Amino acid sequence: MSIRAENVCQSYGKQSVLKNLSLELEAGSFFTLLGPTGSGKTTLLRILAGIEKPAAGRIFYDGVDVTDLPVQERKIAFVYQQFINYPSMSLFDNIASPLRVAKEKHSESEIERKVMETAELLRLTHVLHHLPEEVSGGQRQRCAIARALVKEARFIFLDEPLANLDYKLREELRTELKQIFKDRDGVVIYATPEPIDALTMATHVGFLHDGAVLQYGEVLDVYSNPSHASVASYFCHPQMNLFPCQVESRGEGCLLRASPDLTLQVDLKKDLLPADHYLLGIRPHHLFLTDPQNRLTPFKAKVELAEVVGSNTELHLRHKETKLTLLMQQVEQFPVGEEVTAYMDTDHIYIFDPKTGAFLTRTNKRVN
Amino acid sequence: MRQRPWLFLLPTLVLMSISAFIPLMAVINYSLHTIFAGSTPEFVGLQNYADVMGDAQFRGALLRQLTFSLLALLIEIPLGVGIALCMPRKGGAVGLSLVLLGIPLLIPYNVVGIVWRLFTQSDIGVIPRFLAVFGYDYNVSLDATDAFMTILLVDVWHWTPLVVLLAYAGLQAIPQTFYQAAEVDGASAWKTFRYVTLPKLRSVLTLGLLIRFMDSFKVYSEPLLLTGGGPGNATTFMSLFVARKAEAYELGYAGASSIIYLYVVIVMSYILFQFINRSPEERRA
Amino acid sequence: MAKIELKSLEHRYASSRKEKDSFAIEDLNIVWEDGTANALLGPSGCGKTTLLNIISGLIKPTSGSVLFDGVEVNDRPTRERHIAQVFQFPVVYDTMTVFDNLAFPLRNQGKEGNEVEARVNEIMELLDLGSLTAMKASHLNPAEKQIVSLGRGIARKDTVALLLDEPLTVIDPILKLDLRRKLRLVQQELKLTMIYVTHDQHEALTFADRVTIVRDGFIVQSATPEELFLHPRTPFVGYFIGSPGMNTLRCEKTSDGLEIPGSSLSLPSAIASRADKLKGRIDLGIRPEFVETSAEERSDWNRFTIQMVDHAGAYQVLTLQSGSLQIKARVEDHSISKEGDPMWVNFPSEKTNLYADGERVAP
Repeated sequence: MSIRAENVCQSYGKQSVLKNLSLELEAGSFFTLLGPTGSGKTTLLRILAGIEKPAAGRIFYDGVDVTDLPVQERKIAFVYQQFINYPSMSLFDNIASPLRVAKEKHSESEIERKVMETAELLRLTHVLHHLPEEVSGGQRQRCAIARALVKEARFIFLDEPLANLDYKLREELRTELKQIFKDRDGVVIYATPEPIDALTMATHVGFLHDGAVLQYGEVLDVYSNPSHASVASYFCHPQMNLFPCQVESRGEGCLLRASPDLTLQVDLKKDLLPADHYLLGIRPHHLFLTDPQNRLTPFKAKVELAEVVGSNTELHLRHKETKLTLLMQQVEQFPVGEEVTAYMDTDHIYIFDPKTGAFLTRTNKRVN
Repeated sequence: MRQRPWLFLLPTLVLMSISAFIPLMAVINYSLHTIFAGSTPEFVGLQNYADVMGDAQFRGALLRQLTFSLLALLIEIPLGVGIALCMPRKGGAVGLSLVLLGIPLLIPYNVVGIVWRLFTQSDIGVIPRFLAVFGYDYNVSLDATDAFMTILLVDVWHWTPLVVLLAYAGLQAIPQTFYQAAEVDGASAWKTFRYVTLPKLRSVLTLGLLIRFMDSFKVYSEPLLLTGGGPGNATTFMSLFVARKAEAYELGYAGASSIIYLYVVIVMSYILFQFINRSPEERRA
Repeated sequence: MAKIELKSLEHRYASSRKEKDSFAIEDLNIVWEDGTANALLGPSGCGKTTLLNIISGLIKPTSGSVLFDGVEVNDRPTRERHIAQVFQFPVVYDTMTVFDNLAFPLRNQGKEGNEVEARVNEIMELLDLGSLTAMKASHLNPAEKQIVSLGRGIARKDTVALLLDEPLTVIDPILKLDLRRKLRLVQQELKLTMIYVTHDQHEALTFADRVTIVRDGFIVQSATPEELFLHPRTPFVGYFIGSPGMNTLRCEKTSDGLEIPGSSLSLPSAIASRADKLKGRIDLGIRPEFVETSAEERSDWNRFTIQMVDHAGAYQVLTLQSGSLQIKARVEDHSISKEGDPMWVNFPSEKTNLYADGERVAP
């Protein structure tokens, strides 16, 4: 089972949304389409599903061209960001509805069995007799997902299904969805602007940028080997720190200067830095406020804001003109404007081309 | 695919052209000819226009019309907003007051004219009798000022409710938060009105002003039924003037004055619109 | 600035047509100390906005009293309370410039000329609004509007308190950081008594030195973010604060210590002895980050099986199973854990909270 897009283009008026995009997804994969708002995720998802027709390009399901096949005949399921259910039907009837309208007839007992199974999976059993408006937002979206699952569609499309839920519900559903889709046949395609969704749930990720797929691959591979500065920056939570640096001296233990007060000695994988200026990237959790082993590079910085996110604190720092984010894995508060000494772990540095943003090399990770 | 929007617009365009465009073309055609009943029309070019412009009666009617519309706006808009501000915002009284307000709007023009004619009749009318108490000798059919003011009063009575309804809807749409903020900021009632209510009513009032201006410029049945345009020409407004000419079968002349009349309405509305929208919301680059 | 107090406050909406919409504040007692940053955290529709409006005098409470610095102000009208309030949707005076917006509350107090100008310039500098002075307020973006309404609130020097009602709701995520920083800075610089109402855990913990968690009209816990995180008063707070939430395990006392039904877990004797004196239903709460794990067998530790590995970039969250018991544990990002592998687990006593009948018992 597979789904393939070939040279897909789409534009609305003068605005080109998808630019000659090609993509192939295999069965058994949980695929996230990751990208900032306006990168064309929803459009691509709608085109793959058949809700929208591409201006150019073809879509293949299992090698068969389905570009002109109407969505009703494609055996797909689509879950929207808004919680879309039939308002006058109970949750049970909502979940049963795809089976009742299906071409192949199901007996009532079979429908009941399937609905109960799916409801169990999505923890809706106790509210099945309620109308959508009588249950919580989380349950409404569970119901919409159940409707998608019950007909055993071969391709399931989800367009930011968790966006309208509060953060605790998102956290719960993320784990549940991962569990649910783990053992399912078929292709799951999940569009989201949240890198954490891709990291925790998916097996594969495609980074959509400006109407094109910038990088595609297995989640952890893309995460550790970003092909481009924008992938590196976006596919990280919080975003990867990126700042310009200048080569001070080459050879073994190359020296990179980020500011007059911050020089980094780095052991680069590829000692090939012919030019003088590069873009340096380091993830927020590789910055620290302490250096117990005395092996990190210190620098002075001012606290702009300490933001508590979940069980972490994202410390927004400013060193000279450079803004940096430091991730502390605990809840702590800092006054705005406080001077701190922070430390950089030079074992986890990425180097990008300052003009194109292309990945060039990275430091050798120290094996702990 | 791309033509589909035009397809949907087509019925409207067809209807519009039948109801507006074709008659307009006919009137323009008339205005370029000298037509008397029965005789063959004779093409005279812009002669009718020149005649109309040179006609002191026409200019008098135009000036009278402008004065009338200006006074009507100056009274109806502030009065309408004032009444809207005094109306209840919630509860059962809302429905009742809206119905009461709506009554003048529901009465047909000719009924309005006849009712007011009874009110103002110099021998039996309520108004002359009432004013006589104060020693004022009121007579619509003899005194030009009385006649003009009476038509104005009828217009205010008839159309202020429309302004009230518009302003009321506008007021209801202003979020309570703005008033709460003003209260927190220690603003006086006047300042709250000046800086919260009035700016938020702006677009509704613009609409009201335009509708009322264009409508008052077309005032016809009230002077026709109440004063017949008199005494003298004191209440002969534009539409009445044009109608008189047409009734006299001076179709070319009537056509030319209609076109000038239309032109004045369009230009005045445009000027008014520009005036209100002076300092438009020019967006930041 | 002032200390703000609510004493046995009660409020009910008289005409709540639907049962769903009705809510009540019952016997609420809170003290917000002078110059502190506070948050009121609770789900949407729990009466938080009403509470703010009661403080600013826009709503009269059914009973109870509001005190500013110990003085009851129940009958004082809003404009005499000198409260600064920032609403969910930015409120600016459209026809005025940014400068005039900020000057508005000062001019309403009868201040004029240099006095107004000096103060407004001060505020504009603090909020970085200098470049927008002469801009018509209607031309600002929502984030700028919100900053202006914040500035207008703090322009008066006699402002008693700054009340904020979910002020970031309509702000573009990209602009949020700057607004957050300015808010925090203003509070810190001007030593404002701030009350920040939100349903968002992150905002509450980011802005406030003291967070009051409200649920169903009652205060569940009022404490510093660190305290809420380390010592949640109820299992709900433990779940609500932090990501993932605290593991809560139902325990049962037996003749030889503490047992967790459905598993053969043995708990450290330190925990068992703490539970000894407790009565009623006992729950054990431990945060995923405090669960100690080891891929190699350790004596006295419990054997679990890895059910699921969630990568979060900086760390991993493991779902661990033993019998019918499931817990979550946070481990470092470079640990090589696979689903199905065994994992040995320990609950360090000093990081474990015990709850008797749903309430935390101090060790």
